[in-house]
Amino acid sequence: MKSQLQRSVLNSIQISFEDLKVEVHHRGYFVTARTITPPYLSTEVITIIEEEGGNIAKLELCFQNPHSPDSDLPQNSTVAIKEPYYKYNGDGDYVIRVDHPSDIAVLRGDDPAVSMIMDVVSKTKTITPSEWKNAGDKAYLEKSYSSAIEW
Amino acid sequence: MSMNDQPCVDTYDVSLDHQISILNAAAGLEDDSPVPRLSKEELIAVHLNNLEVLKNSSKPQKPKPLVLPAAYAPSIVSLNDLQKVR
Repeated sequence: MKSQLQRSVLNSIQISFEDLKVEVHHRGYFVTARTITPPYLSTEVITIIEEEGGNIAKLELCFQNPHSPDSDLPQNSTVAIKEPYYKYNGDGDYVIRVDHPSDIAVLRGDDPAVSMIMDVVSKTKTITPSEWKNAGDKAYLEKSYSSAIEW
Repeated sequence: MSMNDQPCVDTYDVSLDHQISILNAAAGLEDDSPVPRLSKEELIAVHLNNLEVLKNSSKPQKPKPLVLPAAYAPSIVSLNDLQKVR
């Protein structure tokens, strides 16, 4: 007999912005999108994301540390948001609010590791293990911690 | 220049009373389909304007009074598991 968690995973699907309901935690669903604007830091990090198909939504990251170099979300980043929470923000304004770092995966648009990985995936480039290691060490020393993880 | 005269860049720039009224209104909207006030182009334009406002703001910003709702519980499903079912 499957557990409740397994059933919820098996029912999981990618959801479109068009299908998001207000004040609902879309358990078992995820969205993917690309940031199409630079972010700004207010009380939280705010940017605009666009999914495949052209729908857009406002995204709020409410867990960021403004003193961390990895805190922003640069334009042209690809994001995957688990079980998105669509929040009413007043007078016809709605946001996808992310409270926990573990609920979002980001491929940063300004990260050389991301573009390098894309090159490897598309088989246009070969990278030796020592090149991977050196690039990761360099990113760590530059305090680009999320990039260091990608390497 | 009073705080009310400053350009409003997001919900948390509104008064505490307004924030509380938004939270109260949100409770009654659960499971509704959204009715966005702004079009795609307008939403992007507002965002870019907010960027300009913050970029050109030379005055130190005052601490904002804000009401933050409690954080929701984090997802317990890995992204890899969610993607497997596609």
